[in-house]
Amino acid sequence: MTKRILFLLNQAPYGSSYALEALESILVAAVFDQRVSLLFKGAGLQQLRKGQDGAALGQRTVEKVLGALPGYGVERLFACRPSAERLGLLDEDLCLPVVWLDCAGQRRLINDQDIVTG
Amino acid sequence: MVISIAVHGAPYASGAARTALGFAESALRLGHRIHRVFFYHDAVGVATSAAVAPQDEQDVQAGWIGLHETQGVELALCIANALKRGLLNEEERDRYAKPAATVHEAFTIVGLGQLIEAMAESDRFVTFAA
Repeated sequence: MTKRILFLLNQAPYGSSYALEALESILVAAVFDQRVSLLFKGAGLQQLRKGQDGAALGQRTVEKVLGALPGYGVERLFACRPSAERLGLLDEDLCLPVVWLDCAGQRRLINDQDIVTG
Repeated sequence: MVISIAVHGAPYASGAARTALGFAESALRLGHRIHRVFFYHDAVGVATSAAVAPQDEQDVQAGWIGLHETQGVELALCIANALKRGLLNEEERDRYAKPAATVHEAFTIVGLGQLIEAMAESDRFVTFAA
């Protein structure tokens, strides 16, 4: 059965394996034909920064994994505008296009899901 | 109602496993069915067969094992997350020629497809984050 699944991504891309491991589950959800949406929030917005290189940390590059998402049909990408304003992030800083949401928009997005997970 | 649970937090660094256990026990008491508990990220550490719980603290692992033994609750570990943290069953120990199997037999090691299957086939999917 196809579910509407929202992944809330609020962890920074490096410093822990959390972001990469979450992306693995997102790719599998897409392979299993679920209706996947992503919401980048807080430090999680840093995952979208252009020009990353995880090699210096001995890790995979989160930007490269994110780049695979459209190929898996994951194209509902949302980001928290207040988080971006705090971080000084603009559209041109990001490696993928996102739809910006204020807090009310995020509430509507969450209410529109069957499952909200991380 | 059919419920599946994801646990993301490490057993002691986070309260996720303990909170999720309380939720699962309550759900079962109220007549719901737990389809699968999926341990992801550092939460896979709850499955180690060698943990010795402090006597004056709740033994969270024993709680999960009890739910498996008495009510047949499936306790699933993400294989990729488990292997890199040294959590192996006998099959994986042999496959990677490691010195010991380290996962309690109440827990099974599964692929990520089982996480998505649990999401797709349950009425509710509840995540206990790190």
